[in-house]
Amino acid sequence: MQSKETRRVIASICALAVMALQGAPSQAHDKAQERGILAQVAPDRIEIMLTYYRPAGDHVDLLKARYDLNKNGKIDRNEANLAGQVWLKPALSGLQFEVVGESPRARAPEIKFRDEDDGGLSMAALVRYDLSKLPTDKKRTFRVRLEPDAAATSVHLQSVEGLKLVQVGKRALEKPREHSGPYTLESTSPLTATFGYIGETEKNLD
Amino acid sequence: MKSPKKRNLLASLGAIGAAIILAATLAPASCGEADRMTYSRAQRITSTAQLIGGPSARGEIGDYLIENDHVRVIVQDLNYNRGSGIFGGSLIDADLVRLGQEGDLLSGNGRDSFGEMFPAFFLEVIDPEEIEIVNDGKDGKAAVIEVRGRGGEFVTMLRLFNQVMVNSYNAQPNIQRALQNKPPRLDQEPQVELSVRYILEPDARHVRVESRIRNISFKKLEFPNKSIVNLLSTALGIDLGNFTVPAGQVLGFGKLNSPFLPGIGYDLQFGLQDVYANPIDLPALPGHRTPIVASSSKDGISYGYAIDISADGETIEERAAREHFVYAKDQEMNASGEPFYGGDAAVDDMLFLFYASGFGGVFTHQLPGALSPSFCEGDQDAQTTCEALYAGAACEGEECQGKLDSCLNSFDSCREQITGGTPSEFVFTSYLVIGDGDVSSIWDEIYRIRGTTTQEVLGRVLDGMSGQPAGAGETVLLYKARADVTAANQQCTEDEQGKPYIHSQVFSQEAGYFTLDLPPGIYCYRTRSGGSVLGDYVRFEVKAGENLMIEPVVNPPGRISVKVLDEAGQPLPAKITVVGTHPYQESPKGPRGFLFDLASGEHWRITDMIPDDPADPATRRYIEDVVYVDASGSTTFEVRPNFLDREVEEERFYDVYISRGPEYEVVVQRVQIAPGETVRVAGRLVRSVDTTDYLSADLHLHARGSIDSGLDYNRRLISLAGEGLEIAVATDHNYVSDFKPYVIANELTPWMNSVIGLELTTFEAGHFNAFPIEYDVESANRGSFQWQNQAPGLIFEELRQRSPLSPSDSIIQANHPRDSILGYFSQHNVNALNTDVVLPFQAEDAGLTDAVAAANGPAFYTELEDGTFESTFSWNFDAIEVFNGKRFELLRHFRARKEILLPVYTEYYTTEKLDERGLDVDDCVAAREKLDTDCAADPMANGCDDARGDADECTVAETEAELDAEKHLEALGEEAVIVCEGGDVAFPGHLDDWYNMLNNDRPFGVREYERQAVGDADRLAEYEKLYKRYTATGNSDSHRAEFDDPGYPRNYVYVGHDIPFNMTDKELVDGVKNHQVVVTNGPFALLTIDDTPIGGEVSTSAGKVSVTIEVRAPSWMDVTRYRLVGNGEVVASGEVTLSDTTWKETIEVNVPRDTWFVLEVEGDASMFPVLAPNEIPPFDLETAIGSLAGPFGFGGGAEGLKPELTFPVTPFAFTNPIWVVADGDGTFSPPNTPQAQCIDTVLELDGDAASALVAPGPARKLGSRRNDAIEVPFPVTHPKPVTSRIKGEMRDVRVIFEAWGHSH
Repeated sequence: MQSKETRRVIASICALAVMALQGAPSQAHDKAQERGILAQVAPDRIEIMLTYYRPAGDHVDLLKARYDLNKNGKIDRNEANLAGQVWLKPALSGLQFEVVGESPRARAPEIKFRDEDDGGLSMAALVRYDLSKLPTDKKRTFRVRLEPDAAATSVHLQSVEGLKLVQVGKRALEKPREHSGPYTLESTSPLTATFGYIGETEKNLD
Repeated sequence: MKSPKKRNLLASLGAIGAAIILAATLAPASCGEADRMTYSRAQRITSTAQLIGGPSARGEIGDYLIENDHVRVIVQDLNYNRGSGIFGGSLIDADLVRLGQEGDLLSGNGRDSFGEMFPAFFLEVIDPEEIEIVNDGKDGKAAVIEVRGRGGEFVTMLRLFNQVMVNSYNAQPNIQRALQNKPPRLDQEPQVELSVRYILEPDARHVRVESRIRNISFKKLEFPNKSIVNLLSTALGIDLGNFTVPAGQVLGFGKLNSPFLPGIGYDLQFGLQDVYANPIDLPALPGHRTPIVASSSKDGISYGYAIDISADGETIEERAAREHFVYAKDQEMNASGEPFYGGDAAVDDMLFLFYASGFGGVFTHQLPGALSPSFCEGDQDAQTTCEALYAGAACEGEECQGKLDSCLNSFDSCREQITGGTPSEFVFTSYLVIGDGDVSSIWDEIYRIRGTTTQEVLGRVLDGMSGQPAGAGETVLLYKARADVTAANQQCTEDEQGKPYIHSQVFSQEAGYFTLDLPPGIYCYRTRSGGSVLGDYVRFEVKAGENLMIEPVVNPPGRISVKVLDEAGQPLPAKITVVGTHPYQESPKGPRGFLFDLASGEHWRITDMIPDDPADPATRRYIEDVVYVDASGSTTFEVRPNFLDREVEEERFYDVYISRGPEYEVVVQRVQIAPGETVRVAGRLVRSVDTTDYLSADLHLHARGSIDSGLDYNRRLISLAGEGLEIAVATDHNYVSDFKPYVIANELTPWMNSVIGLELTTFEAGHFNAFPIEYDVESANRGSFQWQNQAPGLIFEELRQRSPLSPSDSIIQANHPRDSILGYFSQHNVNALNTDVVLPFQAEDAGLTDAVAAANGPAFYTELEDGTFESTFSWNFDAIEVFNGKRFELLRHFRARKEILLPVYTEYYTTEKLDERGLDVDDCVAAREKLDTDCAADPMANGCDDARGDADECTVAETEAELDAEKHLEALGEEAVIVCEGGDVAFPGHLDDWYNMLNNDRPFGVREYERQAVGDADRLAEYEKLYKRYTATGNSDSHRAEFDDPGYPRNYVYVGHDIPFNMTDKELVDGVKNHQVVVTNGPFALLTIDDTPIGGEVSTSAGKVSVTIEVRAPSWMDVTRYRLVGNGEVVASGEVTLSDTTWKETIEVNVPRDTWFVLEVEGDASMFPVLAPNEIPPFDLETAIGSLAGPFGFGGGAEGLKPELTFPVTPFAFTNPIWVVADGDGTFSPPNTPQAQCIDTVLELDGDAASALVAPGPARKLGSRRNDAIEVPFPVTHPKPVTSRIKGEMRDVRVIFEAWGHSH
């Protein structure tokens, strides 16, 4: 466990989005696309589940033609990992995740696809970022930004393992919660959420 | 509860008008009422005259009676449990005082229909050590009886779990034992004392029940045990941090009482199912929130249960927030910031968890987080206190010194904890209310206890046809008006947004009058009466201080009058099935959404289970009613009129079916019935199926003697006669019943006979039928005996010793042996592929859970001197109940086809392909992680080449594996294979078990403990033989009459004549012992080999035999095909084409080795309506336990990987074997086939194991042999994936991600 002094350091802001790490340019706004984020904050990590949908059309057909290796009409299992490398770029386009004071370490994303009833195709990606363990007397701030012209995005926030959401934006919540949302992300203002231990002690957390 | 004042009033109401009624209620109590002497007393029962008596009475001399001027209850003695539970000390009988009524010579004059009640501390119950009359009531105060003891296991599999939750014993050493694959110790010192006080005040109509848990250890105890719970939390990945331990009561109001819960009325099964459908987060638990648990019966006795809401020195809200489980949890917020129970919990809310077989479970309170030790209480110093407890006369022996030391060492910390405010005990209080038959009488008493302001409501039920007062026993249902609408004309209506809230129920008394108390408010009522359409809602308002009279109207019924004759024109017992056609209506609930109303107490109308077609009324048929005709051949009964439905486009009618089992043709007559009309139906039944020399017998039947049946013996026998059954073996649970007096009294001797038997019912170690058996008129249970903690071999021997013929002339039948916790084979871990018996925690692949969750105790194993354990499983039964009721799912081992296995094996092969490359999923994750992080920043960084190599290998392996899975599934073809889980068959079936036992020598003959118990050398020699020919049987296990299809399946037993009443017990025993039995739910099938009948043995040296197959069935039954099974494999099969109810064929079959042959016969068409489909899903104990287990991560099931439980019933029959000795040695040698096992792969190409009886091929696909079994690579009962996010619910993102895609 890190010392309290270390944990007290107000650290730099770190860009977490895979897209940002890869430095790819953002894509033009596409109304037909839909995406959502579920960000779950824990004392030692943050996990982000990103869902991304594209309607039936050339994009979907091309992806299936390339990666449906066993020709069962679906992109599943290891096919999803391959196809996911293609779709992660547009799926993350224009998104930036930050944790104040941390340099998170991303693990390889887990990716799934599913066929929608309307012929469209959806992808879900789960990414875990390891963080230093949050001291019980500290708070953790998570921020997600959207670049101009990026696809619309809804955001759910939740916390686990003793953390509770205490503030969203400039507004402190009336009562600390473990879940909040959805919020519609706008490029003009990032969504900032702060989490902390409420009613917990160091002893019973350990 | 109606006071005597009210009863007197009711008795006189018939002669006076409504105005006088209202005036009379204002009159003062009579002098007699005021002067009535009240009392309460408690005593040990010393004579039968003190017993309560009644249909479910179990009280016996030596038990404890508490009674006052209104009610009487009996607490059973410390000895073994005579109800359904494990331990003595529970409350088993309860009734009103019934002065001046005639009673039973052998017991009292009461109408007890109570089951059993005892407190549950989480799932731990009291193992009583002492029962004390604390106050006998002679002082004019409340009579009090206290039962004290240690923690006991209701289900031994939960022993360690309970220790963790309740600290009944120290769990720590048992965790250590579990790590060494040993079951929990059984000889530990208790850490807590559990007790319950039954307190009866004079003049009360309720028993106050105070349950107590007290810390008797030397240390502070946490509830639950935090250190172990933290381990569990980590292991299970669930948050138990805020878990509080609930406590409550197991409530058995008896099968004769219909349970009622406000909000869901009488529909407990689906009311609870709806609750379970919505997951709830820990630390809350799922269940129905209710202020009372009540019941009703028309026998003038009902029961209720409610929580105490008094408070001393604080408000009830303060106390409830600390102690009442539901209210306390509702003060806490779930992950979404919402109260766990919606925020509207009341202080008197209880959590009703399950209901099965007349028993329910309710959690009322929660234990405090910790209890201090109690030994240091008082003002004495340490030395004085400890020596008083553990020195001198108080305690003698070596262990006392250790306790004395512990006492002295712990004294200061003990005092510190107590003075610090941690209590040493926790007491929770509830009430058992005894009513006069309806739910309102329960409410009346609860209002009185709580001082609730109520207003008396008087009513009179009128007949809708004549306008005249109805009689007694009409039901009026009371509802709270809808609160979501304000318009008066909508408050008592139903729509998609809401409906009135069912609150209570009252029966009309003589001349239709009734009375009840209600708090002021707006209510609705409606009427329900047998044979009538449910009444419309009627709104009424109760105002404080204003008398009120209501006049509910009962809709007039229709009536059907039936006459049944045989071919000679003589009256004949029969079954009448009234079949209707319902309109096409879409409902998410299916027919129960529109065809009947379970909440109001209407019975289920079973449908044909054909998908409804709006254009075809023949797809929308249902059974409106079932009635049995007695020996007179005639009856008249009420039925809902259908004439009114002429208003709709489709014409409504009933088809009235007259049937008498599978040997008779069916007569059908179509009728239309208007309200108030009586329609006459007559039919002459023709017996078309010849069963000469065989009598049909049901060897497993329940009635009044069974705590989960209570069925009147007369109705039991009439229903069986109506189904054409000829021999009825009475097998009540732990109660010896004799049907013969009722056969004679109902003049059924021309058609049937009976045999005295018993179903010895253990709680979790198997159910065993024994017949014939001695009937002991002086015993409360007429000759049953203690089974708790007895090894099965001892139980079998005790049963044999009680045979009136001889120990050798008795039949022991293992009932439904694979029925989960009720199954002998399941609970004793009999291998479903090779008949091995291995204790789960001693199996080669045993894990921690095998030691933790295995059934344990002396009923299951003996600990040997070397520290190992030996199973007590006994093979010395005679018959296996292969076919139980309509439970086709228990007939064969569950098998799955490739479409079900596709996703399972795709995952499986992915893992395998990675293994081939020396990789696993973690390697792939690590490699890809490195590429995405370190190597992304610096492609030349150390280790990146290796990571790239591994990642490429992973990708290739995964792709190959997926394609291989496809290929292998193609190879599987259309065959179905047995599904295994953890090396065992996931859902075993009896027929496959029986075939395995016919195929193999037993792994052992007699255990040492059996050898000592069986004195008879001849019998022992017989038991020692390793090959045993078990007889297969099939029985209905019926607990009810109508809608239960008693007698299906049945056994045709060879007795050599056709006169049931002439059959002797010995003839039945010989027929079963000699395997001369055909098991069927319809067709009659015969098999002869070289002229030898079923059960016989043939010797041949010709290498082949002549097999004659014969099938007989009535014209209404579809029989399509036969299969001839030799040594477990199908050796011949073909079509059956009945001509004039008979089909016969002779074939030649090769017998290169000793072979046993069994004939299977089946059809495809449903036998609706003569045999109703199995449409009502079971609500069994597993569901109940599952309701608790679900939040802990257990339960659920993988879609498609478990057997269907609801289906139409189709014809199926099989014979017992004929054994063919073909090797010339004169002795049948079982094939002892290569031991089958669960394999991990799909492809199994082999030839060497193929039997010569099965045409061998160059290679075979898995699934082509009976015991081909496949291990699925994940638990078939893994937690059900979260399919969608619901409002207000939070789930871990990992769970959401895993579930994503499954729901689509």
